[in-house]
Amino acid sequence: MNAPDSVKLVETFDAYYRRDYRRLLGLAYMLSRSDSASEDLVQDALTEAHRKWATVGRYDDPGSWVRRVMINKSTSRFRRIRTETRGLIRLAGQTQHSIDPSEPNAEVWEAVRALPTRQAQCVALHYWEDHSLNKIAEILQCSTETVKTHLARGRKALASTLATHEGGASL
Amino acid sequence: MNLNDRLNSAVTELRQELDHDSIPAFEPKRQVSLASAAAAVFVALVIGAGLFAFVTMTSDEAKVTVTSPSENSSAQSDDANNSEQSDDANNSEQPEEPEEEPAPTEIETAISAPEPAPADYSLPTQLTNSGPDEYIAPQPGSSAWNADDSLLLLYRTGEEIAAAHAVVDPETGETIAELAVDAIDIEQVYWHPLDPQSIIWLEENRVMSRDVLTQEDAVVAAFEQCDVLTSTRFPGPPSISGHMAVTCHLFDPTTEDLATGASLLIVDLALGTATEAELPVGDGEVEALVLSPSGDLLAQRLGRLIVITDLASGAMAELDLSNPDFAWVVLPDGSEALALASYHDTTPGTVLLARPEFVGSDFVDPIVVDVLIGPDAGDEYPPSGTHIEATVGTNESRIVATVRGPASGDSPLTGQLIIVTITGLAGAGRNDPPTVKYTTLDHEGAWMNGYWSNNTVSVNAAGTRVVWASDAGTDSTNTYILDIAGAN
Repeated sequence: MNAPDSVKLVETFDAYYRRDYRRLLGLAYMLSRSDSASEDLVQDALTEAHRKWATVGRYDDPGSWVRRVMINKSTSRFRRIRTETRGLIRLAGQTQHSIDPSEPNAEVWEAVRALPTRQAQCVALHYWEDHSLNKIAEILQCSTETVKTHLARGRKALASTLATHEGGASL
Repeated sequence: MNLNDRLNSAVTELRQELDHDSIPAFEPKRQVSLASAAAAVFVALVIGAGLFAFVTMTSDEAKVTVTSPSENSSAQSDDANNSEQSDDANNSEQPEEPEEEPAPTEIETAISAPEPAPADYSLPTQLTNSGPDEYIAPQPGSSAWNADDSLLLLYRTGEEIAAAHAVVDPETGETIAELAVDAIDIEQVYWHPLDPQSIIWLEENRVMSRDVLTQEDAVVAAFEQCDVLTSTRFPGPPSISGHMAVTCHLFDPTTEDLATGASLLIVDLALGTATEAELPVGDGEVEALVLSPSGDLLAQRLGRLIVITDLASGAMAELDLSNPDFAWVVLPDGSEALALASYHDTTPGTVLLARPEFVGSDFVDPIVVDVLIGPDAGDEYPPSGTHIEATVGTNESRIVATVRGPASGDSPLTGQLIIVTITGLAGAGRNDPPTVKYTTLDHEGAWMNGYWSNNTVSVNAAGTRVVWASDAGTDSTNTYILDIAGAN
């Protein structure tokens, strides 16, 4: 008889999905070009998580894993094209969420998406997820110094694009 | 409204929008129907030929990326990244999601195992003749060879010997000149890449040069806006294009110390001018700034990391390989890559090749790393330090590494000189693994006498001759030379 699994799953996939879906969707929205593409990105990442939940669910923070998968998928040149293409196909009323930001905020999101990839990711993870530099570095698999640099440059570029003051860093 | 307020306002609105919507039931993605796949291809075609080119590219993305194993977070990282690799590897726009689990994420070689080639080169010649407790060796981190391979720059030191540089004839071993240079660090004296008769170094806020035959000094460039120029803690030699990356520091009058926030200067040694830029990462605590042969890419060591920056676009990518020794190399296709050597247990091999790749103005990050020599090729990890040098010429793509320790040490690579030749890039894709051959030779460098007896190594730009230091198990260190034109 096999020994029972010594590690108890702390959360079911369903519970995780319900807890984290909106935050993932918001992150994907900041990094994607359309509602449909962001939904597709989230679904792709969650499908991976679902397939591997026996392992991923044991991680201290499954959300970090899912975010890394999602960010990797969003930055893959193939994936980006495929996601946008699928998004186009699914456009006919199939999207669950229609995000319609006000004019000033739409301008903010456009500016974030126009940033170089890593800068956009750092800005999104910091402002949307409220993550620390260390957490962002863990998700993006780079050093905190690199995150700091990308974040500073991203903020500088955003301030220039949005013609506003940078304001104080809230790190 | 400042930037933080605008971003926070946008975030708040987005949260409210998403909170208002219901969460859809989770439905794992299934196989896409043939009709959908056809529709996808149709839309892709409509979007354009460029898009088509992307989606029809095949699995050359499934390569080795290097991460630290063993930690839980690292395990998560590996798994997460592998998930994406699996997608890319299966992604010639196939409509089906792969059913099987992707391959385990153990670090593995991306190349077919190289076969050690039979030795076909001259026997090494001892070039210098040092006395007891005297060390005459190539410097680490910069080339011992001048611009036309006619002279060697070595340094001579010892416990009771004042350190000095020596210019040596590589044919005879004769000392042509002895140089007392007032550089920031004895190891930060370099050959001028455009003038075979001159060395260069940094002194206060100037780049200085000296004609090694006439011993006359000259100012190559001076920067009044800086109090001090440094090439950081480790050597930052100039590129063969004639450029040099240095940091410009100011003194902080309140502490009478160097202020943080150094800026980066890319000095054009031919013109004596520089372009100023922000340091890609860090504020002057970086440990090495090494330009690629073209001068287009900058490798910056920062602790265990190497950050590569494209100076034109500012795009950055980084390697985490546990503080390896590194050198730029020009590959057979003319592209530039980093050759790396490491002895750390968390790295996957002894000699590695990291080839930065661009997509538009961004690097593909993480950078793909190929294991050239390592356990997967039948070689064990060496037990201690490995030094590396790579050619920056275009005739040969050659990497030479030396592994510290006696030849009879506890690894097949211990005490070996490893001569690796990259013979080609196997496939059509930029990311296809290289084909390599390598040869090893005992160098007998046992590192008996501490730092100065390190088995430093330097190969000429043509990739035909190599010099290295060895203590041969004695209390003195000498420089040896070997013709490797016929190696591999």
